[in-house]
Amino acid sequence: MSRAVLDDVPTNEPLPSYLGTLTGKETNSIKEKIVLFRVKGPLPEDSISPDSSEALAQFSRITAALTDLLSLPETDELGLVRPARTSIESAQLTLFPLVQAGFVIPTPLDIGTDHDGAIRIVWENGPRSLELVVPYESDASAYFYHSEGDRYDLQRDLSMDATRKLLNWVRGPADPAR
Amino acid sequence: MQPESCSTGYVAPPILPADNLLRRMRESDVYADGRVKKAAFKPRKNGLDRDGLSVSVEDPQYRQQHRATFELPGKLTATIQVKAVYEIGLDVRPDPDPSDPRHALITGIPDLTLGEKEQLEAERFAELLARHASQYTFPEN
Repeated sequence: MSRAVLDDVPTNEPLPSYLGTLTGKETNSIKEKIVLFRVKGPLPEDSISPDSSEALAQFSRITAALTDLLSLPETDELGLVRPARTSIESAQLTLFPLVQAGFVIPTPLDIGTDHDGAIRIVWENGPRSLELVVPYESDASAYFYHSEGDRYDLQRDLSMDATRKLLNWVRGPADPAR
Repeated sequence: MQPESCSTGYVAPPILPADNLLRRMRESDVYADGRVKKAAFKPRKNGLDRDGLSVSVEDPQYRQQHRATFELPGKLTATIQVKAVYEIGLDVRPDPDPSDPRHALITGIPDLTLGEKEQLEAERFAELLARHASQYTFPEN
């Protein structure tokens, strides 16, 4: 997020609910929250948006869907159903730096859990599929699984830049050179 | 596939490429457009699926038995043809037991707890199995 955009955030604006569970700390404003999550170093130029409202709105929808998973039963005959609260926070923390940068996260096809209670956020665009997997266990690292045709891979790098590249990839047109 | 017997002496019929396999899944294992999710075919981390993914071979003779096992609140049934499992590069092995004489296992999926490569392959096989699967509805009779 550019300095100009950050300065435009009203100090006294009430905090939206989607930011409430991110840190566990009480803060007074959106601006403080944004500072808390500000990534170190310069942000990529192409990720800076003059208006971050759509990015925030999309993040809000994703966060709401993640929070809804907490209302699921803990287990069933097939395994864990409800994700761990720490997994939800981890998913939020993976995506929130992009929101700070004004990046509008593509609309996921699905947000749910597998039979190990891992969160799976799925994006699809034609033959391209991308999945953010956040395991139930807090000591297990999250990863992206992505595929297109016969090509598939798993990526552990969840940095903002790497995440943004994958989301741009799944959103973008087919690239035969990839 | 050779017939296999269980402890009661029952000999399971051979599994044929044209046979359909049934797998239990959650209602939430289906996308809004009806496609089956990977989650329905991903081996569990706790080792329960180390020997293979649990399935039943569709068999009119055991339909009522399967219906009682599969048609439960909040659950759905996925189906995939044995031929498709072979084409993906996996195998199907009879694993009859007294409660389900047509029980079988989809085998060949690496143990995802062993390492990064195995985890990647397990994800891929789950994706391919889900892609070839569809939701199954038991016939009325």
